Amino acid sequence: MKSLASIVFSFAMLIGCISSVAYAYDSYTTLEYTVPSSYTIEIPLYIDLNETDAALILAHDVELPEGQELVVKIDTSLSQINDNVLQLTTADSSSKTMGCYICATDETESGTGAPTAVFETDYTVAVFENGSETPIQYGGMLFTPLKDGVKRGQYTASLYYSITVMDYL
Amino acid sequence: MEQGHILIIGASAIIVIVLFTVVLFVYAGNSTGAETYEIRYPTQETAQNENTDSESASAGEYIAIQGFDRLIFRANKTNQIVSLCNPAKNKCYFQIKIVLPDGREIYNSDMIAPNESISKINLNTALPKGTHENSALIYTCYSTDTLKIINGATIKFTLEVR
Repeated sequence: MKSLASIVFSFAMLIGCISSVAYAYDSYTTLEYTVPSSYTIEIPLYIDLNETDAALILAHDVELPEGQELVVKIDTSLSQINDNVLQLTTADSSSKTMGCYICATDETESGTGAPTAVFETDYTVAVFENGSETPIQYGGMLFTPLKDGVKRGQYTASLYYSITVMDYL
Repeated sequence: MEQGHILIIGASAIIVIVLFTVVLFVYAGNSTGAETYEIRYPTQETAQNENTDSESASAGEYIAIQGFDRLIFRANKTNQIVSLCNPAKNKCYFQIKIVLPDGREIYNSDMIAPNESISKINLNTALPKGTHENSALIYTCYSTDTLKIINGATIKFTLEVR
């Protein structure tokens, strides 16, 4: 009888120990916080081509994971642009058009030099990396209105941009 | 107490201690596989802390657009929590669309004035669980003076529906 009681007592101890471990497992909690990518891009509000031939793309608070960069391109699906030429039109019923040559540049001031990059395929105008407000590629646009033979009027166009966080190529 | 009983209790106690130790080691070894409760926040939340008193010389001449690479929605619900804002320094209204990679527009905002933000939105359609890479947040910018479209930007991001 005493042997049986000893075995039962030992078994009860074993069950008690295992269940206490199981309880500890169930109460295990992991907290995780993912630091997200975020940034602020500034695009020109208005460019008066009578006053300037250049515009900048600015960036602030660029927080990116390692190995990624922030790429700003001209969105050609929304902008009236083809073969580096932006189409400006008049708002009146005549809808006259004027072309404006556009290219990316490293220059940060208007009229300081020749354009440094003619768009070939992707129309990239600025590339930024983590923590930097200084672009690692381009950062500006140069405009050259194709004025020859164009009739008097006020010509306007809208530029749209595509902003993407991408892996380094 | 008989010597036999003492031996049985002693042996049992040793077995219990050994088993307890083994279980403890196994538990410690597998601790990384424990059920994980993740706390994630929509990525645009941190972008809300923009310094609106920026000394940028571009104030008034540029349009500031806050971007992010990930947005999290709840599955099978049309009402969602977001944080989309038009920074105070801007001199334009924003209209914001959310478009899936297949071209489906799931949200289109009203005009958002400078220094205003949106925290709750109603989608056109509820989405099942899934990940939509290359989703687009399309900003259209309207002049505060004339309400004419000035320009715009498309932010590419990954939409996670959980």
